[in-house]
Order: sequence, then C-alpha cells, then structure tokens
Amino acid sequence: MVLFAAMHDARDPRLTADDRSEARLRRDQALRRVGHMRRWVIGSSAALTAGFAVFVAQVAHGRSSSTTARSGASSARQVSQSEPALPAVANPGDLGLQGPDQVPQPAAPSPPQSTPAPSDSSGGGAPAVSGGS
Amino acid sequence: MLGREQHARFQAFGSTAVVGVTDRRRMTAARAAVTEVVDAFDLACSRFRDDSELSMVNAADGETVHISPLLVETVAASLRAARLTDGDVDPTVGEALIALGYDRDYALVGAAEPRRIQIVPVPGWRTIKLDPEAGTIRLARGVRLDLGAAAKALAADRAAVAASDAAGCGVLVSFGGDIALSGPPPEGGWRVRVTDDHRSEVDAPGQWITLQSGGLATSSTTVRTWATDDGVAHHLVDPATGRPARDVWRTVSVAAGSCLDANIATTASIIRGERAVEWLQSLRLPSRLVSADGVARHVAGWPDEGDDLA
Repeated sequence: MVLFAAMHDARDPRLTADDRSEARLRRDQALRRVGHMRRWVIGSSAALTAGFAVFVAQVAHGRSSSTTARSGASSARQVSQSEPALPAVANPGDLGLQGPDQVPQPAAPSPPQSTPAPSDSSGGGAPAVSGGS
Repeated sequence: MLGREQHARFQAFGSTAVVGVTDRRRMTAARAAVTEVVDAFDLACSRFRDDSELSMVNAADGETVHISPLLVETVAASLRAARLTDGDVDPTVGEALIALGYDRDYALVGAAEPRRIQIVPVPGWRTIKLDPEAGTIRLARGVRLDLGAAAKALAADRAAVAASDAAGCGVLVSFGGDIALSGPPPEGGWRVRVTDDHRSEVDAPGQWITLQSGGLATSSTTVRTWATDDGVAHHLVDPATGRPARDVWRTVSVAAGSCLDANIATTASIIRGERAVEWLQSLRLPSRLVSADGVARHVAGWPDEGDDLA
C-alpha cells in the first residue's frame, strides 16, 4: 500500500515539485523493501527445498539418485539389516575327509636294510614303515 | 637340502614311534617337541592309565566332568569321525573292547591265555554330550570311550607341526605306522614302506611309495590280535555288532590331507568291508586295500607300480 500511494503521489499534477520529490523518495524506499523481501523468500524457498530433498532421500531410501557418502553408508547398513542372516561358514574339516595335495608316488626299492629295533637312540637312515599297529 | 634325512625310533602309545628330519642336525629339537606332544596326549587320552583324564571320564558314571582343551579336541575329533562315517568309527566301543578281552595294555593282552569273551552292544556316539565352550563332557551311564586310533593320529599331526616348528626343517612323525608330515619334504619326497605291520622289516611284502605332505595311515586286522574262546579277536570293533569287524580287508592304507583323516578312512574301510572301495573312490582318497587272501587293490590314484601283493 505504501508503494502504491507513493507512486500515485509522484504522478499527481496538483502536488508541488518538493512534494513530488518526497513522493519519489518514498516510492524508491518501498521498492527496495520489496526487493529485499523477494530475495529473502527465494533464499528461504531454496533452503526448504534442499531440506525436504534430504528428508525424502533418507525416508524413501533406494529411490533416490543421491550418491553422497552418507547415503551410501546408510544403504549398506539397511541392506545388511533387511537381508536374512547367512549361516556361519563351515569348518573345512566338517565338510568331509580331506584328500592329500599330491597322491603317493611309486618309489624304487631301497637297498636291503633292516628296520632298527625300537630304542632310545637315534636310528639312522631306515625309512618309516606304515602298517597296522 | 642339507643332506639326507635321518630317522629316530622309540616307543610311544604302545607302538613304535619314528621321527624323521630333513636336516639331521635338528633331530634333537624335533624329537623333544614330539616327546612333549606324546606325553600330553598320553596323559589326556590313555585308556590304560589310572591317572589319565579319559580314565576319569570313563569312571564318571553319568556325571558331567570338566576336561582339558586337549581332551575336548580329541573327543571332538572322534565325534567328527563318527559323523563323517555314519557311525562306523565310534569312540563308544570301549566297553565292547573290554568285553572282548582288550582290558589292559596290549602287551599284556596279547601274551595272555585265551579268555572267555562277551559281546556287548555299542551305545553309540550320540550318547556323548560334549560342551567345548564349557570344557565339559558327560557320558551316559555305562558308556566307556576308546580314543586310541583317533588320539594317536591326531597326536601325529600335532607332533609333526610342533617338531617342524621347533627344528625349522621338514619332519615326518609316525606313531604305530600312522604318519604325519610337516614342513618341506626331502628331495623326491619321504620314502615309506607300506605293509601289514608297522614293526615289519622294510623288505616285508608291501610297496614303496613317496609322500610330499599330509598324512598316511594303515589299519590292519593282522596286528593287535589276541586269543579268545571264540577264536582270534582283533581290535577293530564293528559298532553295529560289538564284534571284531569281518575280515574282508586285512589291511587298508589311505593317504589324506592329515593323518587323522587318513586314520578315519582306514578304520571305516575295515568296518565297511566291500563297500569301502566305492566310498574311498567317491572321496578321492588314494588307498591300498589288501584282501583277506592277500591281494592288493589300488584306489583313487594310489600307484600300481611295485606292489608285491598286486
């Protein structure tokens, strides 16, 4: 209203030059106030939009195109919470009897050599014998 | 390679123990490590020592008993063996062995006069309640464990690793013919003679092979036998009958990733009889089976060459 009144006064032919000058000053002040208010509204709208976008990204996760580290970490947590827990990794020994890395190889006969009788002294070169016990 | 391997022999677990090293200068360290493992397993798992933990467990009469981590591990290994063999290898055969006359150290049983025997049912491995976290075990009343074969094989695996670590070289450990390897092998591998009896001379009928790693076990019905009023008995009891296993295979040798797994396979194969061949093939375990009439059969990559009985 102040702005319209100031504009009207500035064009009124009945006013003196001084009155018109004062009216133009009031009009210019009102225009500046309108400009300030418009910038404030635009800034506030941008901030509110950004805040709303963050809120939606967190609430409706997985439907956002956001690639921030924060949302990535959140994604990992939510996936691990929503998937069923996998059974513990089995001990290899429980899976069955384990075969050898290499199959036995044939060996040439040794020169005749007796297996020493069991004793507490070191025996020497006679190889081991695998048999029933 | 610092030179040819060297072997030392001594008594352990009622049989002959062999320690082989790839660096002969390290034998003392290797053997000391092996002896330490033997002593620990003997105190935990012997059925014939009154002061062993196993004797305490067998005498608990249904009560829960706290046991050492080593006995927990050995019982767990026996339960795994039972699981993997559908109960053909069963640690609850203790009472059946006693009823068959194997109630003392074999040195005394084998030399005794024929004894009157009984056949008693084997209660089964599911009667064992082991709590590894709590370190406790409870056997149903009247159940007695025999951990002999599993304990010996597990001890060989542990001793080989301990000796190799202590000696800083490749090591072979054999307890009664059940062999575990650790560390780098000698050039060309460890030479081993495979026969019916681990006490045999190296020229006894059998086969020479070489091994690079893992374990090798042999079970035989021709050893650890004793006279009874029902004929000759042996120590490999069929849990399904409470009797010594049928004599389909007199000797079975298996190579595996560890001595324990090899021993499980040989024991189960003796019990399974004819079914053992297909089973071993399905598991891809290289094996040598000698029939009761002395003919060797090779399975899953076990070499054919040089077998006296093939």
